[in-house]
Amino acid sequence: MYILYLWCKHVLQFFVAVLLSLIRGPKIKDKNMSLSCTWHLWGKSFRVGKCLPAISNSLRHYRNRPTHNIGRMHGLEKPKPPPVRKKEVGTWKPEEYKAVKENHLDALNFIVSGYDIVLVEQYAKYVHQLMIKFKQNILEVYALPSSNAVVKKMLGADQRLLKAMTPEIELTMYKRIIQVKDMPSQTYPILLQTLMHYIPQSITLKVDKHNEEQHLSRYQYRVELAEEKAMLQQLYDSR
Amino acid sequence: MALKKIFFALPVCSSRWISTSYSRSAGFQGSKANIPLEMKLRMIERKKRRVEKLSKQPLAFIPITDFFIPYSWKMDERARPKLEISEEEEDKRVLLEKEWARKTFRSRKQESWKIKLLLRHQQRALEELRQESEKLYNAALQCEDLSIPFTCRGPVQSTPLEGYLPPLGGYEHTDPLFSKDDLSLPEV
Repeated sequence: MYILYLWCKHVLQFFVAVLLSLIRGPKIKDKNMSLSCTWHLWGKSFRVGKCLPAISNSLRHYRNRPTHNIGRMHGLEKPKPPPVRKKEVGTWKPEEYKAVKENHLDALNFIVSGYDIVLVEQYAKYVHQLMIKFKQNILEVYALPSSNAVVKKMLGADQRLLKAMTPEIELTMYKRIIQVKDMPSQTYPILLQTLMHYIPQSITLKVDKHNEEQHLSRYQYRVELAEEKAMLQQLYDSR
Repeated sequence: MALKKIFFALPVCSSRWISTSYSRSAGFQGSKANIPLEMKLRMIERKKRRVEKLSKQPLAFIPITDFFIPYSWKMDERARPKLEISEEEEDKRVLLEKEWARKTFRSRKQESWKIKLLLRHQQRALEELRQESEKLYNAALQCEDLSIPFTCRGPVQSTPLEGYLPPLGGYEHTDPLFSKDDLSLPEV
């Protein structure tokens, strides 16, 4: 009888505990342990018979064990790419600019150019934001060096040469490039349409494939190398 | 460029000497005329090595001078006096800004929704096409027919005037800094 009484008591306790836990919800005792939590029922951890519950509460961290910080999620850093070596700056690597998937476009350059820097920058910003919104693989967003256009007027019949004419205004052409890779061929016309719709006045948008020429136009002309090469050519010719 | 010129100076008298090097004695035009083959080959090899060494050096970026402000613009005398705006004006301006923000937000939202709809319809159409025939589906996804070297110009503020004769003149385009050898002689 006593055993029956004990068994009934335990069963009742179990069902009531389950009900209460459903009402109260789990009680997370430690902030670091999001997975393991205790279900504190009536201030005690519940035991059915002599077995421990499946989810156990361990406040200890075991810092000397290799399993330390096993469930940690916050404070993680993304793996950084290796830094570019000084020797490799400016080398042309065509494999980087080719499409990885089928029916996807290779690296495209969206070149925004104009004489008004404010509009150029604002439109380049719009193009960049559009690419981000539609989750395109943006390789780089950079500026090309600016070039000048001098508007010259011919005041008299003597000044037939362009060099001798008087300069009226000097305008600088500004260029911004947004480099995008692996764009699916279906989304390209749709994005182009939106860009065409929002292009401001006096600005040209040019879309081109990324070449070695365009790649090298960012870098300085090497005077020494060119001269030495010319001398080498002279030596070859004089043989 | 300074070439290493090795010359042997034979002093004739205290203040004069004759050099026996090939390049100095030959004059301007025939400087490489009478050099023996062996010496030429050695010179070529030296040049090749020098070219290889120089080409291994890393490239330097052209500096972007878009935001360089001339010093004459930074004088204190040129600074503008501060404008005093009444509270009413300020309130009006702030309320206008808020209205503008609301309007642009709405239009941007509509625009992105339209584009998303377009993409969704496109996906659906492609799926239907695939069920019809694989060949057509593959042909639709090709990258060759797209207009890749594409240019588009923005609108112009005013239409061209009728009967307008522009003054005679021209445009002179200069290359960006450091992109070409500026020490070369100009064309006459």
